[in-house]
Amino acid sequence: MREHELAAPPESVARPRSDALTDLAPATNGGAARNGGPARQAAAVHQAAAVHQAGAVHQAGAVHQAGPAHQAGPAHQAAAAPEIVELARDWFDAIALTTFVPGGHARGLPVLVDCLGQFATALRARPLDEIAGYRVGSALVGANMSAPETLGASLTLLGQRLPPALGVDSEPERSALAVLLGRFATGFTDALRDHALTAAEGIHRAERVAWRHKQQRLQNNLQHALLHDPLTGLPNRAGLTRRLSQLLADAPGGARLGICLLNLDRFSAVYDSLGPAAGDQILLAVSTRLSALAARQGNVVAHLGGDEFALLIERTTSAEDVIKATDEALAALPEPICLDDGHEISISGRAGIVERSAAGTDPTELLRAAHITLGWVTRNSRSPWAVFDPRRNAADLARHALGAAMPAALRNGEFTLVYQPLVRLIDRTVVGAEALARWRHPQHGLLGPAQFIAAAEDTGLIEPLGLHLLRLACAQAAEWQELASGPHLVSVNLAVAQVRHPALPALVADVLDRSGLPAHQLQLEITENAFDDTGGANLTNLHALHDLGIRLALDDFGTGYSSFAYLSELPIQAVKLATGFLRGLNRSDAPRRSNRTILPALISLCHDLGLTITAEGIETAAQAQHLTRLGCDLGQGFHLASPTEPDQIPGLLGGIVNATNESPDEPA
Amino acid sequence: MELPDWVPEGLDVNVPNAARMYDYALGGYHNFAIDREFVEKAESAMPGAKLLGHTNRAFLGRAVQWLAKAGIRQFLDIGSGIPTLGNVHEVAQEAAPDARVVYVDIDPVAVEHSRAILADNSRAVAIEGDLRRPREILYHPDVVGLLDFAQPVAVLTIAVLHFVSDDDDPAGIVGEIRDALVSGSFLAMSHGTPVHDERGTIQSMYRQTTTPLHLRTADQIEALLAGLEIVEPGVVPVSDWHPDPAGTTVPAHPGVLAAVARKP
Repeated sequence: MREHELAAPPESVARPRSDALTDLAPATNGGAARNGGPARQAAAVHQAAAVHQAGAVHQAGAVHQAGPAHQAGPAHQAAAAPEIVELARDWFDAIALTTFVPGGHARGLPVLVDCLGQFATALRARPLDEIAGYRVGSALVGANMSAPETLGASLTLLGQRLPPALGVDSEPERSALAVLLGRFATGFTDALRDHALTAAEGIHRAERVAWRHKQQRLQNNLQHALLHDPLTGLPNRAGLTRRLSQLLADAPGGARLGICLLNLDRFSAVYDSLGPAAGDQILLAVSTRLSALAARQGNVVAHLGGDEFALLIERTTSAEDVIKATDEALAALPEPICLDDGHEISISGRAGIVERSAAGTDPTELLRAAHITLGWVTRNSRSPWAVFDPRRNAADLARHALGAAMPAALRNGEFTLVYQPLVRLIDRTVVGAEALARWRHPQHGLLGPAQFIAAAEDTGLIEPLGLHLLRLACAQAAEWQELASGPHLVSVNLAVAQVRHPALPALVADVLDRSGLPAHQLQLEITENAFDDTGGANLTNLHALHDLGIRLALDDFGTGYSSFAYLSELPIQAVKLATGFLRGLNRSDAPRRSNRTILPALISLCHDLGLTITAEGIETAAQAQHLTRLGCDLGQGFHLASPTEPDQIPGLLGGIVNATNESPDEPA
Repeated sequence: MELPDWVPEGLDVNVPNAARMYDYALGGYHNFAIDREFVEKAESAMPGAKLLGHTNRAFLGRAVQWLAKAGIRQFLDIGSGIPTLGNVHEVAQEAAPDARVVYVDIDPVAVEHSRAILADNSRAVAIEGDLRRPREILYHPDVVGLLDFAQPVAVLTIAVLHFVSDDDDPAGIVGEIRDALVSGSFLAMSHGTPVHDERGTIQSMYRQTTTPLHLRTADQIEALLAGLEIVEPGVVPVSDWHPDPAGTTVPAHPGVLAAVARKP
């Protein structure tokens, strides 16, 4: 830009001045001679001009920056006159007080010597080369002698020292010099403005670029933080999902892939007892091991949060590939981890595996399937891993669907009861009935407890459902009282959640009260697992029920971790034997000495404790006869009487069932 | 709220910045209003403050020339600011065209501008770095890419260590740099020292900047150079370190001390 302006100076400024100088020129030239100025001065002018033309330039590398000052000249070199050098030195010192001159004397001085040479040449030229003044001003700024104070100091110094140094003593010469110095000020200011604007643009551009980079970094960091776990630095759920999406989108036809979702056994217990720092250390150790393994296998490892990790296995051929990777991953875990506090801890893990064709696979759905599979493993599996099974999943889904439909079904009265008669074995008299839950499902038909009780327990609906069935049973049993002869028993199952509910005794009392059924005609069946952990609290409930006059029966005795202690501790009147005890009682059965031995002892024990014994699931005459002989009090099962609708029960109560045709199966 | 540690260093042109203030003090135009205002305030609190900048910059030029004469061809300028006026690569490459220079500054704007200036120079680069974490500088890919640490390197810490507090262990920082250099390498340093300004006006003013000032005495500065051989004339005011034989009328100022030290 600077050069452009110099090449074509503004006409309006240059023209009139130029005319004036043309007039002055001869006088200027002659002036020096006529006045016979000191030869020393004249020589200085010529010398300075020569310096300019020869270019002391070559000695001073910095002059390159001065641009226009660098001009071609005669090949001969000439040293500047001492006067000029002295003036240049003084000029430099004046400038150095106003601004920092890069390179100091070494760079600055040659520039100034050259500038003085230009002034001398310009003054001699006819017409006056006033543009030289502009060039010198510009050159000064180009050499970084560019402070505003530099201009003032230069004008003062040049105004005083140039006339004697260049032998300027006539009025026209002085005018010409004034013109040159004016142009010098213009050149300096123009260049300074350009320089300042360019610098300002530069620094602003740099600021913008720096900001853009900062934002980009911030964005990258943010993106990274969103897609990675802060502790382990591994891709998190979002990161894995994104990875999966890309992988699935890019997968060629027929490609398969697998995922292994892995969590650590008892991690939360370790975390609670050893603290978060140890927990983090364990997760980091696991992350390191899995990463090393994944790097070797060529797989991707992710940390989905907490103690949950995932291995993404590309290009599988079958589930076997994923199982192999999973086995290696699980095998890498137990090696002891040395914690900071000196403890060593060994951990293990479990895994859910999904392997399928990439086509049509949705990342979220794939991860969900892996989660479901891991759930199967954690809840009930001896193997540390399982492979996703679509049929099992469908069954799970159906169960969930049932669970979801339950609240409405309860409101709509779809839950009802059927009753299985309770038979006194010694004379086969029907003395009561056990209420069995049924769901009259509008689509699926009649469903038994096995199909919906678990779902009810999962969803928490078991309590209202249990209460509903208890009300129903009590109300129906109260009706039978009027229809049947003699007192009879209705036996109702209580779910674990019900037994644990603090309001149970009050609820039951209320139900009895409303139904009008005498308390001693209600038997509540409870299972042993109601006492697994919080036995103390539940005992209070049982005692309260007992105090109401209700019979309590321990259901399914002999399954799970039966404790004989229950028999003496609980306020129960009856025990219902688990059906397992009946195995081995038929002639055709493989001999089960254990049951043949245990059963008499058990019955005898219960009787000694004053407990009534009921055998469930009697399906053959042999079983019935055997149990009768052993002194078992009550029985129920298909052999005696099938579950039946409530309105059939009054007709059965007090009657005799199936006393005949048992002889053929008489046991040995 | 505490920001997570991955939020980058501040980039705020509403706070005066040492690099841009220095540029203004030298008569440069690569600065913002806030920087100019601060320098003018400093100048009125301590007349001659701007000239001190000139003196310091002139020392940088002389030091680089001296180092080039001593055979150094690699320069690592930490705290380079905005290398517009009397920059190291020009001085160094004028003395030795094959000289290689890496500029390091903490201010991203200064670094970006340096990059723009160096766009056509294959022997000079600029990186963002923090002197308080010397390893990140010494092992920066651009640094090891351009400089060969098996050969002598001159590390320049010109008017920068006085922005490092004692808590950040300046001796440890210099030590880490020293240990990364081969024998025959140099460390050139200039450092603000307490003088005149008994009331600590300048120091308290600098507290408003992104780089508070930590002035040190000659003894303290000498201690920073432990394990290095301080070359003649020792720890002296910047204007007295191998002054330009051509002389200068800029008055000497004792406010900044200079030293060049050689790794034995």
